[in-house]
Amino acid sequence: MTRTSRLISRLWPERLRAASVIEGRNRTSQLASIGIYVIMSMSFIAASVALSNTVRFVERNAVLSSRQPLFLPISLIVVVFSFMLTLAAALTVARERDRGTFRVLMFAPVDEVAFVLGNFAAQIRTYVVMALFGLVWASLATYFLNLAFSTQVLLAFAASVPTVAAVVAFGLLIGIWGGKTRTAIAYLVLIALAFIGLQIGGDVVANTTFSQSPTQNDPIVVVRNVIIAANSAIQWVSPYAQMSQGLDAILDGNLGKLALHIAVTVAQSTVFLLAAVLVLKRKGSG
Amino acid sequence: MQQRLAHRPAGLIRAIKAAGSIFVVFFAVLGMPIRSGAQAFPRERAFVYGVTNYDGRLYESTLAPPSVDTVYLLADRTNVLSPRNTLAYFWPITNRYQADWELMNELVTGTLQVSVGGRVERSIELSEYVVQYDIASPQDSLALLFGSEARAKFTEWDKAQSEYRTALEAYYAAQLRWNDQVNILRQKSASGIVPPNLMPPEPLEPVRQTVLSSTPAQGFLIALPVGTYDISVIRADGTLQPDSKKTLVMFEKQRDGISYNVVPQTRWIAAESSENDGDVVYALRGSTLYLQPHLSGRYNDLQYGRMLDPQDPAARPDRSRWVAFDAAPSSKMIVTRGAGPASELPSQFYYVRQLPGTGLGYEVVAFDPGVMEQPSFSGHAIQLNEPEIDIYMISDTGAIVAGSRRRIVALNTDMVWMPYAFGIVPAAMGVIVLLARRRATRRVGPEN
Amino acid sequence: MNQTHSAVLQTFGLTRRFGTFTAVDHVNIEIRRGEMYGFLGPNGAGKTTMMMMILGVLRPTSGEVRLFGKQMSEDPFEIKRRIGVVVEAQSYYDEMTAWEYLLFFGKLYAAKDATTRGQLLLERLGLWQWRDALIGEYSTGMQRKLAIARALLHSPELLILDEPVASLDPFGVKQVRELLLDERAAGRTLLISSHILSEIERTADRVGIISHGKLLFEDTVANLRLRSDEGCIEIELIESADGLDRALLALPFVLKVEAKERRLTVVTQAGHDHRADVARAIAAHGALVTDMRAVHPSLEDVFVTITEAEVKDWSGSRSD
Repeated sequence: MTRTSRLISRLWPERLRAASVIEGRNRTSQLASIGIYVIMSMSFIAASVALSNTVRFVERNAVLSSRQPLFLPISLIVVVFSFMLTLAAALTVARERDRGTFRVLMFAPVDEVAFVLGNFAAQIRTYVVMALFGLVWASLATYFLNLAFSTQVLLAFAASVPTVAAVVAFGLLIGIWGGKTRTAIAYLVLIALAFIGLQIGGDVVANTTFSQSPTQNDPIVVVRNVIIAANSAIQWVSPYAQMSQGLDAILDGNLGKLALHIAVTVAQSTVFLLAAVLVLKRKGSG
Repeated sequence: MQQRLAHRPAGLIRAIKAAGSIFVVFFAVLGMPIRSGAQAFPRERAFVYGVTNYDGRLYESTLAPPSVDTVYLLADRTNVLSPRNTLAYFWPITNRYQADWELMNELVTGTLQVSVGGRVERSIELSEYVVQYDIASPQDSLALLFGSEARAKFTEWDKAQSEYRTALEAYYAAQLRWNDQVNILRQKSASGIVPPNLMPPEPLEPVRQTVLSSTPAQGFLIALPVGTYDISVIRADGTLQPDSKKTLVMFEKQRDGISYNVVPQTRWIAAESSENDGDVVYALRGSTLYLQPHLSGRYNDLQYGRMLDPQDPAARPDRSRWVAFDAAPSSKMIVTRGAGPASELPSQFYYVRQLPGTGLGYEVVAFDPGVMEQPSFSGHAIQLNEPEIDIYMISDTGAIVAGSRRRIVALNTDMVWMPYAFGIVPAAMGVIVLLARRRATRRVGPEN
Repeated sequence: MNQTHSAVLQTFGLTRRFGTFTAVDHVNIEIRRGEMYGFLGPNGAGKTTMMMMILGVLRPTSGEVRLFGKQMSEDPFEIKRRIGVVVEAQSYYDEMTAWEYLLFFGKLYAAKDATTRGQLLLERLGLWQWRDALIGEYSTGMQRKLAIARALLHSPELLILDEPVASLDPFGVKQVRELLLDERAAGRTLLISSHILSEIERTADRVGIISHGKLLFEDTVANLRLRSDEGCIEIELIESADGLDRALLALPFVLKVEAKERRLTVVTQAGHDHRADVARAIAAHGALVTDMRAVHPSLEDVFVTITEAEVKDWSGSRSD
């Protein structure tokens, strides 16, 4: 065994151990604060509104055909949870560097990889707890409203974990890249708006017909094609775009598409986490 | 203020400026194509393809103007592309290019070159064609006829139409004479009623002609397997027809299935469509539903949408759509109620009878041909007295028809408050956690 | 490269530049096992930069740091586990209680008997009764003591302390001093940087003085005192004597005489004990001595002397 491989074989157990300690601390801190409980309640209330609209529709129109009436409420829940956890991830790491506790951590047997993994794991484990609450809510709604039970709901929550993981990893990267807490939040909001803007813009531009007969070389056509191409590319980069693809795959019963979605989100998480570690190593402990 | 600005992180300012620039460009691009309605819409001479496409049920016609670069057609079925010169104009109300066929409708003679990867696969000559079908059973009788058969069949149809018109005229004339005869007899009769033995035979109405036919036209007959091709028209003089180069996408159905129109008794004019075999139909306990099954197929939304309308901007490549066909499957509907035995659910005709009185109301009753003129609708009636019912269709061989299963569930609308109630639980837990944390920690006293 | 295995910390030509500015300039130090090393320097001398390079937080421009005979990159987790650190600008998790904070770091360092040792440390530092209070409510002094408890929790072999007694009241300073002396007695090695020179003087075995990035002096405190240019003798007479101050000033080795009633303070040249000569001169004048003591220069005196001289040299070389 070479010296490097001996070092690597010693490093990873240490890293994982340190990450586990950081994860435990962060998760406990999060579960001990009122924030996530308020967010859960807000998302469940919003989901209940969506669900009660479905019930009212049936009362008014006497019939509704739906593959899964819980999917819109579940999407709402997952989006709210993931947004909150992304923000929490970004704020946590930005604050650590802002107030100097990151430096104190680096004096201990911790490195950048352990720090990123620990923060990442904390948010994911918190999400799993929140998702379990979500599953209980969905199960109660199914039971009391007599919605048709479906394993799709279980699958939807399970499949949401890698999607949320990718979103959280993205938040970690932004939090580290942004440096200061306020800058990190601003970057997060700007990038989220850009993603959403491109998605909406792509739909709007794709639906626009030009009132002059454009040729292939018309700059307007070129710009439109660029926006549509950028939007298509964003589908692979943006975890939120992947979320809707995952739900569609579950509704279609398309396990291949679901597996692809999971693979893409896992790849996204890996890329974001690697980038976060590299940026953190470059920036140092400030 | 200046100090605050000076201390704002440079990276953040750059990011805000970049985002602002992107939004400005974005909205500028969006704003470019928008025009006021007061402008004139000039007609320009343009080469277009008139498309006669098979949509899974019937043949439809549409237009592929120069602004469209891809034409979508169903594979393994004959479709027609007709090369035309016309006057094209943009019609903002429909946001589409239209053709003014009345002012100009010139056939472009030539051959259609079909290529793959730059290699010419085939050249298609113009053919004469007609589309005919019987409205009594359109999908069964639909035919695209071409070549000499097209002309012959059209001539036959035209002759039958002409004979029918003649027979109809004769019938109307005979009807008038018969009316006159009956009036005279009535006047002669003391009671004013013509005895049956004296009643002259009523003229027979000629059998209605239910076959429809298009007029013969010229076009390229397209019957290609699934794939993507390049097409262009080579004129009779050997030159390329400008604007004739397009991409041709031949596609096929993704899946077969059964879709149902679900007609609720309380809102019989507003049927709900259940297309996917994973659908659940939700209704109110005790309600009556009428199910109307159709054969259906699932297609890629972009391909099918652009087949029907090559200028459709909303069709999406990442979605699918179900298309219901008119023909009802020749199979039985089976219903199971909980753990009970399966039973057959026959299809019947129903009649909607308005209730007497000033109030609004109607009732749905079984159709009685002796009493009622024509049925309002048909379907398999099902009453939802259980929490859950399963239905499916079986074919003549006893096999379950793919895509026909549905679950019909009685929604418990009284408990709609329950999800809200549970929604409050996490907040309550959070308050408990907060209080517990406060209890577990202590304040630093005055000593320190 | 001469590696001494009893050396816990060694630096070889350690240099750090920030652009054209050299913060640390080819510094070589060696701290042996079990010793308490005081690290002194004026503000901006490069002490913190040195410490950050030692801890692996800053990468040196050139040179090397060895901890326990290894470079940090060879075994970072193991090396960090053997070090306890308190930096001047300490940060805390305000939302944690002190006990939670301590146990968290106990887990990070894989400290043995963290709860027992944590309790012991908090008791010695007077924080045990406030262990369940949020750190955000602690005073600066309490936070400093908590940082020290954290640094000692895992019984590290090497303690690196930057201003450990800053913000502490005299009682707190005493608590920390006694604790650190006990740690040294237990065999730990300490590297302490502090502005409170009296504390360094009282506890350090050796001292290194750094200024403008250069290590000017490194030796025991006793030897450092001898570097002072001056000696001082305090004399008490039975009664005041006129003219005695002038007579003493006439002596070649006397630099200054301060007379206040019966007390005289005679500042002499360093390097030799002049009490006998002074006593003879007083007797020759007819005065009687009731008490005579040689007063050693303080570390502060020596520090100021050395660094002022270096500043003069430095500013002189700059003006050239």
